[in-house]
Amino acid sequence: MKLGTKDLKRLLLPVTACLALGLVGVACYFAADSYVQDTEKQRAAISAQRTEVQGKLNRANEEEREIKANLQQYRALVARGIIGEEKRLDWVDTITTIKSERRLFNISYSIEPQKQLDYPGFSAGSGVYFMTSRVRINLQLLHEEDLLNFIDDLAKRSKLYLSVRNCTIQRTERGSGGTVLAPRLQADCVFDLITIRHTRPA
Amino acid sequence: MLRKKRLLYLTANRLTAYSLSHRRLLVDASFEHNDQGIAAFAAYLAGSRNLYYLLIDVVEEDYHRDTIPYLSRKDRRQVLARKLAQRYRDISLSLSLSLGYDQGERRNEKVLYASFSNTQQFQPWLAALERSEVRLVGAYSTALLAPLLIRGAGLKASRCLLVSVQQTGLRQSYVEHGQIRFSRIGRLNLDDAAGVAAACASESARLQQYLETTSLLPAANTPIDVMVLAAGRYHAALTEACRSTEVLDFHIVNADTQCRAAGLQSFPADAPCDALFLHAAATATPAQQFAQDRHRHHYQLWQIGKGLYAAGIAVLGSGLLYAGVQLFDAYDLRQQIQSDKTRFDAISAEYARVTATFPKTPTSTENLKTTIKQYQMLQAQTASPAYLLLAISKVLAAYPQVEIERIEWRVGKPGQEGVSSKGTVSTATAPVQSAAGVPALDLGYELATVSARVVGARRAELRAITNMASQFIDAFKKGPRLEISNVDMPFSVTTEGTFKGEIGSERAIAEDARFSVTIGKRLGR
Repeated sequence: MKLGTKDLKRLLLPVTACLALGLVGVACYFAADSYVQDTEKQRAAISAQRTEVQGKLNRANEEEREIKANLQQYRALVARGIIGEEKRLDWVDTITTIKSERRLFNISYSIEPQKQLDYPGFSAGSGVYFMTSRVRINLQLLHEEDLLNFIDDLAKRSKLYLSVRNCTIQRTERGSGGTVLAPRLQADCVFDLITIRHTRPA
Repeated sequence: MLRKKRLLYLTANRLTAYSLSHRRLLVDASFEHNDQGIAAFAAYLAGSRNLYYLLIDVVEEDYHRDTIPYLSRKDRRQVLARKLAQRYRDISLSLSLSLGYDQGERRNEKVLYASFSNTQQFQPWLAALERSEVRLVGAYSTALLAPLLIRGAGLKASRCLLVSVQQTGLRQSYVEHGQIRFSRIGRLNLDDAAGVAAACASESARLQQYLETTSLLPAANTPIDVMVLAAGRYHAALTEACRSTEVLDFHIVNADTQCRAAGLQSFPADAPCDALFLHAAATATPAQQFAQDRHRHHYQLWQIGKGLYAAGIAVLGSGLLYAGVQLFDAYDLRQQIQSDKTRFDAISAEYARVTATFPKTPTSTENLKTTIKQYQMLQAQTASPAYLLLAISKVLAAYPQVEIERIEWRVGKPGQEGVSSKGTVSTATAPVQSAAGVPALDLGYELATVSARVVGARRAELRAITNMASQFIDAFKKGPRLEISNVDMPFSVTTEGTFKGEIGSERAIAEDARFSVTIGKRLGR
């Protein structure tokens, strides 16, 4: 069968109707599919929310215990001064006191600018900021135990958290039999003075 | 709504137009075979959108049996067209019917060619149909429809002769295995019932002889069934005249009754047989017909249009059906969402009630948790030199010949020191694995690099100095949780390094016999 121009004109309406009906049918298919998929996503989302809140409710007692425990530690940190601004002068006063009490030789120090702590596992972005100031300190020692006592005192008395990063101890003299009390050892140490803040650092 | 069908009964002298609607077959008009008749027929057709069926009932018919080889569809079509063209001068109203295949190895196909031998008489009618662009479903002969009537009457004979008393005369159509094999028409005086009955009987016997002669019957005296179809008024005479014999088994069928049995509520009373043929053409339309494509062009266009509409509706229907199923699923999901929402609200309210009793915190619960968690992590990474210095002190007490010159304590990872100039032994440490097999956070080590020397030894006492240093270093290995790395011995006794010595010099105190070792303890343990 051969179709002429006249025939094609006659078939125009059926072709148009076929296409229109087909398009409507296909549109129905995709619209319904899309609607079901959207609905399925909504269902999955609300189901996940429900599961989450159910889990939180199940863990409520545990959470309360955890909050209480955390709060206790938190208050202890606040009391020690670890949470809050770094108080350098207080820290210097503490060194002075320790030196005096322990009868230590000269102590020299330098405190670097404060920055965010970058130890393994610490990341910026949460609402909690661990700040650190690096301190380089030089001590003249009679005995290595003086260093340990100094560090121990400093860690206990400072109103910040002390993290010792390195210490090099070496002899300053060998075989001296004099009676004058003179330093025999020299210690060069690096400490991190750490404080915790809940506001973003400038 | 059922579309009205138009049925055209064409004889040599006239064309009678019928319409079939709601089981009523009515005569619309009759047109004589002359110019006025053709013109009136064209006027009758004008603007019609009905389906038309043309039934031709004339004397000039030809049937011819042939055999063609077993061929592919395309070759078969070409061969049949060529055979028809060879046999008939005019093939505008011709067809070929397959009668089955030979059982032999070559599987030749038996074919029956059928054609109207004088088609010129039909051309004015066909031209009028073509000009009016009517939807001609097909052109059929009464012979072509005979198997339908035999089947409609309930006769299941393999060989059957249909004898029908029609307006044009006495039509005899021989049907074998449901397919037409031969047909002819004879003159008849329809007013003489006894004559009609006698003609039926005698012509049947004559045709049986003819079929035997032309080998259409396999052997002499082959019995055949004869179905005599005639109006009710001939029934008594036919019953009287048509007595079955050994070769002819007569079955008298009342055409009036048969019309009603076929579902026709109304039909022309004077032509019940014609009505049956027309009804069969319109309701059980055979696939084979005589008209060419050009005559059926507008019907085929209509079929294409109908197909397009059907395809569109099918796609729409499928889409709607799918959408319906999906919407049903969506309704189910909505119900689940509503149920989940209700439960979510209830649980949220319960959770809010429970958390209202929690202690007040100076910062958010999350910040509080993070602060403590990270503080604990900080503690795990913090160490005092005390542990390692104490360990060194204990070992040193057992080796008075060893004097420490320098201790470098630090928090870090082993192997980060510079490469030693002398033989270095490093103990590799793999990251700690958590219970789940995931690498845990590597917090590092507290490390102490001890630089020492063996005092009081002479330069020549290489073995003694080396042994002393080794024993001193090995002593650290006994310490709990201690790991040894970066061992730098006093002398490079391995084959990789340069080894210098001085033998015989009693004054040469081994001041350069220094060695070093790094001891470490993993943080967080």
